[in-house]
Amino acid sequence: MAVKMAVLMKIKNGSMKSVIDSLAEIPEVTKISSITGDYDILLDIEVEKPEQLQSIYLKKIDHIPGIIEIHSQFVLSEWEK
Amino acid sequence: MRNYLIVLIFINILWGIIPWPATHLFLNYSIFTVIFIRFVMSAAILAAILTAFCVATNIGAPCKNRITLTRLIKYLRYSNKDFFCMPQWAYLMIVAVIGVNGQLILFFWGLKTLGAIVITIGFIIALIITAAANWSMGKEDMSGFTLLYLFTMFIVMIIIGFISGNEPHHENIISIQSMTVTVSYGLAYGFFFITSGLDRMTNEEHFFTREVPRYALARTIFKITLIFAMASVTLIPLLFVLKTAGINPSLTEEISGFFSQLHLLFKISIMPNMLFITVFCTIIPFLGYYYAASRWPRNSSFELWGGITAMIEPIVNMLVGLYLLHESFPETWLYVVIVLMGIAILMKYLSETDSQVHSLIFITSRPNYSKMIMKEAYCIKSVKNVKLLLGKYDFMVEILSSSMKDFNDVVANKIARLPGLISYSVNNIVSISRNSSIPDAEKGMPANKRNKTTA
Repeated sequence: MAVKMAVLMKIKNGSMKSVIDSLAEIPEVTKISSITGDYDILLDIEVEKPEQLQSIYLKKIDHIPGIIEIHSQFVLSEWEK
Repeated sequence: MRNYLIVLIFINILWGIIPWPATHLFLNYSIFTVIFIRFVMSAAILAAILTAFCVATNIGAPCKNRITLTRLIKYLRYSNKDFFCMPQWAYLMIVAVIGVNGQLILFFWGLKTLGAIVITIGFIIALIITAAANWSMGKEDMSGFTLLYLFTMFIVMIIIGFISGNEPHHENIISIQSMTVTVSYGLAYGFFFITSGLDRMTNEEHFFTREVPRYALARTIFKITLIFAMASVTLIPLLFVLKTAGINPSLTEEISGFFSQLHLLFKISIMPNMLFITVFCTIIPFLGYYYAASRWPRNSSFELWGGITAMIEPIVNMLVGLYLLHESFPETWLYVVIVLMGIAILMKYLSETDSQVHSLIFITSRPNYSKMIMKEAYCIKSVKNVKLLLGKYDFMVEILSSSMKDFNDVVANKIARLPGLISYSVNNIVSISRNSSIPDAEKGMPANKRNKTTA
């Protein structure tokens, strides 16, 4: 069963474009929204198994320079119009 | 989205062609005969399409997920909260009589007496009225682009009116009668534009649509079928009233013509021009329009593109008038008008994208309120998506509003009043980018359903 995550990120000033470009190369990332408010980026991640999340975080996202803070949330259910 | 946009453009071209077959029919038949046959045939064909669609959907579906006639009729008893809390059937009746019958009678009457180019003024009046009404209802902001759009449309209207006034037409646009017909047509069409979409689903219908997504399209076909049926049923008493009132001798003559042609209805209905009007200028465009609406990408507003592409119709009307109906209007001025309409389309696009608000609201809530918040938030009109989260926040609600006023209204009066809400934070979406490594065809698909080489 696919696991969906909604990841909120705070980004260092001036690093927005390079962070978005790096995130866009991760195949499990389905959507990147640049937002205003408490956070700068909302990332939609979708994986087939929860174990894959560890490698995405440790091997991919963690290496991207410019990310200050990450808040990850599991999407338990989604109602879309 | 590009494919659905092409569908919308094509639909508006088809709607714009209508003066061509209609004018040929007016040579021998009353305008009311054409209107009546158009409604009756369209209602009958759409009813057959609806039946086939429901049967195809219901095959193999569990009883509770079937789209039945009882369920569709139940829709008529709901109260329409967007239209004075009237029952849906009363709302549809008003749209049918004023928005459909009134608009089409005046359009055909204007087409016959003034021509396809001049009657375009009525369409422009309708667009101006719609923009003003949307602004007064908070659905649209009166930005600089909106003002420029309205100003351009006004100039177009003046050019068409002034140039036509100097041309040897059937009737002069400057006369009181012509102006009355044109303005009334604009008012009736404006009424149709404003009211035709005012029937949002009830909570019960929203939940049923989640189970059976095809219900949305079935409901729309049912609605159009009923509007056409109601328009045809109410046309005859309306004609009696108009005849008794004796407003205009030519109009009375048209009404008498309709009653004397009643025995020819079947013969006229299978004529190529009449079939063209029914199939290509009514059924295909209406079905295509609502099909595109139901499949429109979530991150883009259908209302925005529907409004922009609607301006193709008057352009096609004018081209048909000049080149197919050989109406007298200087070609150079027609191109000036078309260029101005193109500018107006651009202004409309800029004004709508300028005022659109796309945002995410993160909500934290009290325990035991999850289901209630999910349901309540999902039924808010501007809400496109609701996610139940596990983490810092409990919900993420995606909102796409047409204006800041509309957005403020949604947040202050709907989101802030959700039951069990503790706090919420508003984040506007600046831009959205999709993963470049996912092929276009697979975007939006869950990772496990994508091609294994890309996922």
